Amino acid sequence: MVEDQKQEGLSLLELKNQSFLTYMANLVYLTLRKLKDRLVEARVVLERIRPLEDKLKYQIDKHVKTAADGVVSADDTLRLTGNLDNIVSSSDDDEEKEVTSKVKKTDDEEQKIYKIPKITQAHYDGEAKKNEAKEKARRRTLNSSMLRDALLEHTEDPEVVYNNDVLKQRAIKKRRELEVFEEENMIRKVVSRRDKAAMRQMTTLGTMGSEILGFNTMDALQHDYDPSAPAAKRQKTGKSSKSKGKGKFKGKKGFKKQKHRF
Amino acid sequence: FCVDPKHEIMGKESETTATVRTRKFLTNRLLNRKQMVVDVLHPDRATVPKSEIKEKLAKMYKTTGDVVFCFGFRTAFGGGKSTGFALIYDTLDYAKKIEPKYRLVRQGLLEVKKTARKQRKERKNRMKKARGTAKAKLAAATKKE
Repeated sequence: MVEDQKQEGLSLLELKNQSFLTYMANLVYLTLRKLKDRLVEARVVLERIRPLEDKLKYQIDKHVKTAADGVVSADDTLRLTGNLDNIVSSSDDDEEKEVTSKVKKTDDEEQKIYKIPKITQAHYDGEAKKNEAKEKARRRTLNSSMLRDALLEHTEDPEVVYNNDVLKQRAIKKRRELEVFEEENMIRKVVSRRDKAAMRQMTTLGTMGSEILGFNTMDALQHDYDPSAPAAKRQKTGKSSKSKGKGKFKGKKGFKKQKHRF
Repeated sequence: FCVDPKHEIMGKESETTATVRTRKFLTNRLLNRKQMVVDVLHPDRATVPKSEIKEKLAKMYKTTGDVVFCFGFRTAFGGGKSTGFALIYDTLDYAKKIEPKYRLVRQGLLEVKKTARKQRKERKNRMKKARGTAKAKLAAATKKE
């Protein structure tokens, strides 16, 4: 090791230099060794052969087996040829004509009806859809604001407050799109009153009210939840039935006069 | 007592001046003009009139005011900033050829003579009564001077 004679001890940078050099030297030696002995080349060739070998595997195995057994097996495909005696000409017996005509008829019928060619298996979607609906309902209740507020007190994550509301996002995006279009084409687009109001809308209770104050049932979280089945109806209380009875007489124009309860 | 110059009743130019900035500048060789998006910053002031913006742009681009056409100014909510477009033509001839008629009228380069609406409607109703060559005669007779 080279030592700096002016100072005491070994300079750190000098040490780094030397170790780098030795590292590089060793690496080069290794690479050279590999190249000279054609190690890598042989490995690459073997790897390329492997898939080809996989494709021919069946034939190779069969031939090896034949060679090993010494006898050709019974189900050898090379031996399966057509039996010439079975091929009969169509202009022979009446029976055969009938048969052929029947066959032709059904053929005609079949030609009219379109049959899907059975090449591969068709994908059956039925089960997945039901599960998906269930999953969707489950996810909807889990992500509802009601449940999220309830779970807030049990998590240890810091509470994140986002600045963007979902409904406003759409309006913001639309506005930006419009802006880009207008500046690109140097033209002012006529925005209808409704669209203008939508773009300027603040998230009021009117737009988000149902989400904030809504009540979600926990049905979707049960195991036996079936989204296609009708939701359980509320039990009719005694009071409501009474009020219905009172309002049964019909007014002048045939409207049912109902008692409005405030 | 002294009159405060800020509260001049006569002066139209308010105390704060407007800043004019241009964006997306593009030289349109096909139509012989330069087109750009104009941003006007005018805090404490109402929307700047187009004529003022025109003069400012003419000064910025070292041309006369009559080849500068600005339009489409919209003030942002809350005031203070407006955005619009401006076109600066190479010559007035090109401007007259290319610009749409209504903008030329705004600038004062074109005059559109129009008879009164009532007269036009009356003429139309008179024409309804005639048919064929009589109609053409009537049209020529009552043609606007």
